[in-house]
Amino acid sequence: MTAESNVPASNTPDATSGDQLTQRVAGLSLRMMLGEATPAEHREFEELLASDPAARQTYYHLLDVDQGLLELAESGASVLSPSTAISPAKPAGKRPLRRLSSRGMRYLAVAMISVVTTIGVTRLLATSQPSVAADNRQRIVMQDATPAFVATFVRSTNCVWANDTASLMEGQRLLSGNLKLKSGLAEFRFDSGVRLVLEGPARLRIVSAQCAHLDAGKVVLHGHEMADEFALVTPRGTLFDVGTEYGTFVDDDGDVELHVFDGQVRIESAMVPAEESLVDAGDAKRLRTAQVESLSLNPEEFQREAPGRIAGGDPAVGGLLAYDGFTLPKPEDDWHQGGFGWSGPWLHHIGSPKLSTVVLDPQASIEFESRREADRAGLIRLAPKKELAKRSLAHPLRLNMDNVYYLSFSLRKVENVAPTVPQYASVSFRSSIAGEERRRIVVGMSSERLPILSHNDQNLQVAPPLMVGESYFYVVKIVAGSSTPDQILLRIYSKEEPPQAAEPSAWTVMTRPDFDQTEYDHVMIYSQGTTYEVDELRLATTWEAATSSATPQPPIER
Amino acid sequence: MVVEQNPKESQALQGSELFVSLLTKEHSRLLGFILTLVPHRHDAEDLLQKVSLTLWSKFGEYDPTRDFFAWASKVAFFVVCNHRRALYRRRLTFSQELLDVMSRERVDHLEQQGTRLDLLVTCVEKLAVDDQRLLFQMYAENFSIKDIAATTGKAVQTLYNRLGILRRNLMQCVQRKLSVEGV
Repeated sequence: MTAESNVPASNTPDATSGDQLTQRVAGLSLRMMLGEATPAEHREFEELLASDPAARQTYYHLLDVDQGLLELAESGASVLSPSTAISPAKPAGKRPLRRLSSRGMRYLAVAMISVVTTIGVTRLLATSQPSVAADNRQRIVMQDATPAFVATFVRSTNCVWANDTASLMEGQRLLSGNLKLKSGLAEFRFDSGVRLVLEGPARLRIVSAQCAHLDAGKVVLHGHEMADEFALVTPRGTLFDVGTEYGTFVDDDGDVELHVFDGQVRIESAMVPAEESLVDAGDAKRLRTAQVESLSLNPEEFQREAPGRIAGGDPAVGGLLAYDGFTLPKPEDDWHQGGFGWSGPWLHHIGSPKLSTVVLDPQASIEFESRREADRAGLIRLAPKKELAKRSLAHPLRLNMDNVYYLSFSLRKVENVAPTVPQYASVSFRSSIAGEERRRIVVGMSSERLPILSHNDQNLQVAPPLMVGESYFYVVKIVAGSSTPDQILLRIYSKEEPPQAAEPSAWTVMTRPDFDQTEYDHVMIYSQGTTYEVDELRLATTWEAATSSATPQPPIER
Repeated sequence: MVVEQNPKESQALQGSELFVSLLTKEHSRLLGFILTLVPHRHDAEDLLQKVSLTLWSKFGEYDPTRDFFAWASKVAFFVVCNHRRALYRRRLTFSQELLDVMSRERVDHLEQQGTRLDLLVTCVEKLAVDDQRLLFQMYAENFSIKDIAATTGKAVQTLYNRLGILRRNLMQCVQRKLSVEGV
């Protein structure tokens, strides 16, 4: 160390563990900062920080050094400049007058542009919609940082997608994007309620919940009575519907045929005169480059619905990942080991040998009468204390991959107790992986009997409350994406309204799309305060497998 | 064209000035906070941009009687967690548990960041010219170590070691000055 400087001219390795720790943290953090850390180094660094508070403090100090050097360099301070001359030492060191780096100014520029844009937008709204309420004029509409889903891929029949289009899974939620279908039928439900059946070969671009572009091929559009006009943009004009059903075909030349089966379609196109812009049910038109022709309606030319997967096979099996009907085929059987698709019995805690103390009633059932089967009698009854049952999945829920999962079960609150007593029940997905223990997907019934849906920091409840003594059929859809946000949707059915064969267009409650890469490896059933009953737990990759009333059989091992 | 000023609009403009003023003041600490959770500089800077936009969109929820950084760091944590999937796959961030712990600790640690950065200047002033030049090339000109090795003729590992030593020494210099100054 020089006399004038507190900075050592060279670094003498010190044998103390503190210095070794500093060296380790410094070395690994440098590799991380430069983006050169190997997976092993990343793990080592993470473990070091997680286990040692001193390592973390050292890391924070190093971060300040890095950031300080960055600020000095970017501010053009002479103390850190390309000049070979060393500027004289300044008394009582102070940073050069801190001004934002050019990068920092860009951040503020973005923020300021956003401010101007939003004020401009509100002014535009104010002038064009004078009836907008005064308080609405100040609402700032900012695009959410998380991309928004606009449609769901509902059903497919023999779909073959082009190489540059990722294969879609039924139930998958879609952002805006391009789709190329080489053959087959694909049905989409837009969040506006409109359904679109695409017949390959076709090229479709999903723009928003109210708009798509058909660049080639055939589409049948089913409007929704509650939806605003849906805009289908074609090379010869834009087709608007209101509660309509029509078919349209774009040929290789870009010419467009329109056949209106129900309702009315409005054509917006420079070459379509106003008097011909409305096309009624029973009529058909061909739109060419410079003319519009009348055609005979030809419904047979279009596939108006996608029939779905080819019939055959047990729908209760195909796509079923895990099942427990809480039955007891023989009195000597252990219900904790029942069902299939599990890795171990129902336990009090994962990793503990203690079995869950929840009680089985082998004769009872809370399934709807219309769905009940004699060979499925049996349910679990959770007593009015804290009850817990956890079971590991043989096939964990992987939210870091493109998947669609469906969970279903029946739930019944047997009786109400005093309102001051917490009395809720839930079925949830949890993770036993280190670092992921606090992640969760939870559905159930709150103390106020409200349906609940939670996904990590999102906690949702919806009204109206559910009834005591009534059975409810919960169906949870989990949409997972490797590079798109994840979303959880819950639909609760009652005996007056049992589930249909197809996925619903409306859900009881859904989370906002959010990123989650957790691997959920076990299911937890929990209740407290009063008696709850749970039955027929299924985890599947298709709606049919999760909701079929047929009794699932163990799938054939691949 | 004369544009009639909507009273609520002028309020919005005043709000924007306040926002920009607060963001400018806490820009450094916010970046320091995000760098803790996302060690790769460029990704941290990109996220800071997203955080800035999110802060603006949520500025109506900010209580001016509260510390802006305390509120902004919570929003920043949320934005980082939202992007954690892509970052974790590229080994650019940490597990959620570690993020939770570090975010809490770092907020406290950043209270003295200004002092530490001021002391860092005097520490850097004492460095040899070649060391200052190496730091300038790495931090200002964004050279990679390989680039610098190519231009200086020095081995990559030598430069790596030197950079590591400089960082550690500067950290220790700042800590010594802090203890001397009784902070």
